[in-house]
Amino acid sequence: MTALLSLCVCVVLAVSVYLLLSRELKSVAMGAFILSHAIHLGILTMSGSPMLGDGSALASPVLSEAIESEALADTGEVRRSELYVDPLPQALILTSIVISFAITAVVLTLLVVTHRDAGTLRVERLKVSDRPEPPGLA
Amino acid sequence: MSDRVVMLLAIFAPMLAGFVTLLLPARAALLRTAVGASGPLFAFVSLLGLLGDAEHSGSVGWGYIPDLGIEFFFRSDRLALFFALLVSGIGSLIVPYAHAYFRGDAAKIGRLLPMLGLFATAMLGVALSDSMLGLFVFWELTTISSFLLIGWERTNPGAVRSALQAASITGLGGLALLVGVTIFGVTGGVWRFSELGDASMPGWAMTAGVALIGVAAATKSAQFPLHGWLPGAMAAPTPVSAYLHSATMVKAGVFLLARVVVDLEGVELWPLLFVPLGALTMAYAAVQALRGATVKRVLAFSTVSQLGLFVCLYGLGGLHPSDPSHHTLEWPIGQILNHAAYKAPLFMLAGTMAIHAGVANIAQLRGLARRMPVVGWLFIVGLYAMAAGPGTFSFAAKEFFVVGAYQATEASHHAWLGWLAIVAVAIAAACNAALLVRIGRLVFGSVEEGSVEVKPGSGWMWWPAALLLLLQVVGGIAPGALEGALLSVETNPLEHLYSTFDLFGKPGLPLFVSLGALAAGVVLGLSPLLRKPGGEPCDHLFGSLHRLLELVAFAVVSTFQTGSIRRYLFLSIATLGAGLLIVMTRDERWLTVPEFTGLIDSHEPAIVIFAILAAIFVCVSALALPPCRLRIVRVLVLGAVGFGVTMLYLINRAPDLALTQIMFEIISVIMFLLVMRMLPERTRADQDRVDLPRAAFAGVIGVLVGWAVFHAGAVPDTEVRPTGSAERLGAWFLDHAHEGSALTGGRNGQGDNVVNVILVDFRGYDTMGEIAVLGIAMLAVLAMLGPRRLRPALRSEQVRVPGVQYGPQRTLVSSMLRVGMRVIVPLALIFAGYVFFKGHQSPGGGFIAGLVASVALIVYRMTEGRVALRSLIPLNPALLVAAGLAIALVTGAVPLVLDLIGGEALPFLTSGDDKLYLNRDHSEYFHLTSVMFFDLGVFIVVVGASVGMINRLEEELE
Repeated sequence: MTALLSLCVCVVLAVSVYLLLSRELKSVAMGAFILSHAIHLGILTMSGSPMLGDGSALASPVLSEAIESEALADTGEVRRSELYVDPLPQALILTSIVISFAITAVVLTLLVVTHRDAGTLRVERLKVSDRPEPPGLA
Repeated sequence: MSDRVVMLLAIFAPMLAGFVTLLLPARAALLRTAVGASGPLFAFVSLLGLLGDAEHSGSVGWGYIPDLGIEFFFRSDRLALFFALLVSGIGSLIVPYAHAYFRGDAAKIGRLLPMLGLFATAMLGVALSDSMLGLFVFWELTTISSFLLIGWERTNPGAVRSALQAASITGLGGLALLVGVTIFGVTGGVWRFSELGDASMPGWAMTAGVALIGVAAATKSAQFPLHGWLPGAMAAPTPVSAYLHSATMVKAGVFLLARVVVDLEGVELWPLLFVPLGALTMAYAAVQALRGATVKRVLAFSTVSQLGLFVCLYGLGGLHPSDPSHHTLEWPIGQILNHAAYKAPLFMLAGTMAIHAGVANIAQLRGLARRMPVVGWLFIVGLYAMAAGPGTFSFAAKEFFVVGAYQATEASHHAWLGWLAIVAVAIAAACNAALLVRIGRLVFGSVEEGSVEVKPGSGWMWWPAALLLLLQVVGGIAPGALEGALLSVETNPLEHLYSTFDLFGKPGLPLFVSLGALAAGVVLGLSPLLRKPGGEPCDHLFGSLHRLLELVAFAVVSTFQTGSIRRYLFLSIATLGAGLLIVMTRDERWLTVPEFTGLIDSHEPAIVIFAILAAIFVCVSALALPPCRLRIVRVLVLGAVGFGVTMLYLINRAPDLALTQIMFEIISVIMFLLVMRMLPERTRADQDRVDLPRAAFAGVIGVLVGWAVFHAGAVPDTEVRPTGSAERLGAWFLDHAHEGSALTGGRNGQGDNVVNVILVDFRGYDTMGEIAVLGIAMLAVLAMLGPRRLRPALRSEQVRVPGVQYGPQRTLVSSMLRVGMRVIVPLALIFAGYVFFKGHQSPGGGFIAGLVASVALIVYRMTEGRVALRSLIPLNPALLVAAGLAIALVTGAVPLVLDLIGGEALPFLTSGDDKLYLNRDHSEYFHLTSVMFFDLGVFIVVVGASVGMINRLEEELE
């Protein structure tokens, strides 16, 4: 599973970088949007695969008496970290999804406002306004 | 009162008094002056009370963050008390002098007093601080107040430039001080000066600390070539020049050296750095003083010269003569008092002359003794003391310096430094004597015809100066009168003070040098040498450096800040990629393929097929995004990526993530569609050509990160974790999500859905911040789009431009969707409630419930319009967000005030729970927990923010 997810991270990230570097702001916004997907998948992948080598798998991080009593019967003890997947990366990603939604909203509004004010979304044309002034000969 | 309270009050009294003057009636200048002077006077008197115990004073104060060395500790040893008494004493004299100087001008006095108070507080803090970081804070405060005072004439560009120069140079010195004391703190674990002697530090740390403290002292005490700001600082009014730039602030650097000299003089660098620095400054500035054109410039350079003498003196402390009984170099207090007792009066008198007779240039001094006899005579006495004429305190002080330097020539190492100091002090003494001769000839010269009228002035203009000059005379002739006061604060006391007569009784090389320099000075003063007034090279040093800095900054900025977002992103991403590459190539484990159990390590065919399909779906839809042309199609493809990611979450046993992602995906796609309708379709010119270098770069970054992710995921963390480090944090959360943790006394937790428990309970602070971010994002969207604007046609029916569509756009809503939504919206809202209440035990919670409700409301808004939504939710979305945040905050704050109802106050966001039984035999119950209210806040914020943002964007389209 790790290999498969890493492949997805690789592809989505590459597309995201490609879009971020495009010449038009709509594409840049889309690149920023799917960048969050790549990062989230990356965090999840790095926390390890839920699949165990023997064909069984860890459970989702919702505590369940059924799972735990079964483990108690099999091995005589309950080690939760060997029964459930790691919940912490999931909590982090959930926070991140909300934040990236907020950022997407702001970025999209910026696009609308930029288009309204500058009349263009082409990166090269927006460039002029940001140039610093040469220092004065005081 | 305990010592620390006395010191705290003494430090802050001048500032408070200064600020209190602002509350007094603006016209009551005299009252303001009286209050302003009471601050330093209070400090002076209360610090005098500590003098008796100075020998046994310890370090007292308050800790703030002791682990980081951030604390405010004070120390009232002799050195600190002397310096503090000097600052507060001269401060009490300067305030009435300033009143006279400004001739009672209420506006100017009102402006000056708070600044002077702030400065006196900063300076007292420097003197009394024992914590190094505390001293740093006060040190920077002196820079700020000096900046304000030098730039007194706010409209004069020259004064503003001088103020900037002083602030830049002394501010940079402050940074050096911060780095220096941080090196001491980090390597030696000492954050107080009183502990510096006991600390064991590596040699490099001592050397670096000495060098950095040297830089700090050299900037503040105006050592060559950093002295340029001090002559510039004369742009300030004369009371300020007398107080800050001669008597007190410029001594802060010297004081810093005095603070550490005992502990650091053993460092090899100490004498090698400070003796040549001080000697060079002493001689160079004395020569420049002789060439000065204005009175204040002359006095400024002679101050620089005297500061050089101090620095040289402390440098000599590092040279231990072969006979230990000769080690009499550390006699700092007498030297500092000596300088203050002639330089401050000279400045005051210069101010008096400027105000009453319009004298600013040296040439205008002609005949002063006839026009203003008192001031003229006092000025000459001051200059006589400055020239270290026999019979003054200054003579003894200079003689002691020469004696010390002479003894240093017997040192085992670097004896040449002693000779260097003797030569420098001889040059400086000769120049000072020459200055006395030249100015004396002018002052007693004949009055020119038509010279400026002398206006009558008040006695306040000269008597503070006379008082201070009296010290010089008494100290020179009958030092016994000062012995009691002075020797009790001296760090390295002599048996008794020497008068001029005592010293004449001990002929030797030092006495010969002193007298020889005086004689040479008289000859120099009468000769035509060095008569032409002129500037000095360092006057333009700062300006040139400033200009150079501007040019370099411009070059850097124009290289990197091109205004092209592509360039910014490329640089950022390339830097990240390069960093990753460097890390990977340094450890060969990164280059080996980790063991992994196949592409999909599952034996269930359904999961295998589902996983492969989802991965293909994600990859293909992502790759289809760049070539797509139509904006609507692109948005749909964008959504497809997200749905694919949702499937991957499901396979990875992350139901909460999958639910959240799918809901956000729906809302995001709607938002993208709305925005894309407002933006133009891509034209042919915008069309990206197939850009091979860009694609290659993106591919490299993707492969790099993908490989890193694969490695991190495939290698079990037992292999890479450093031995002895804790287990994964996730295991802790799994173990305590239901049972609560011992850290919080068994509270917190009580949920089965660990992800939700982490979010709303253990990491409640994060979630609090997160919903605040969501609220802020909504406010940003509303603010950027501005108030809702109606189309022109709706405002005015007359103007119609052909080709423009007026009125609301026709909504593309099928009746099927409308009817369907009437059924689905209530159901979706009920489902949202279900998800909300189940959240703590099974997948769900406030976020997901809020999103479900938002999706329902947003679709309702799209089909039924703005008015319908308004009638469904009459509240303004911004208010809704505020209410949600308030609910979450109040829920979090309840534990803080539990003690009001008889319980025990608990930290912010501590949760509690109980079972709400639904039947009599207690077999069925509803788990009621306080985090539910927190989650309710989250729910309301999510609904308010997402519905609010999309509603506003839709309004923009209508």
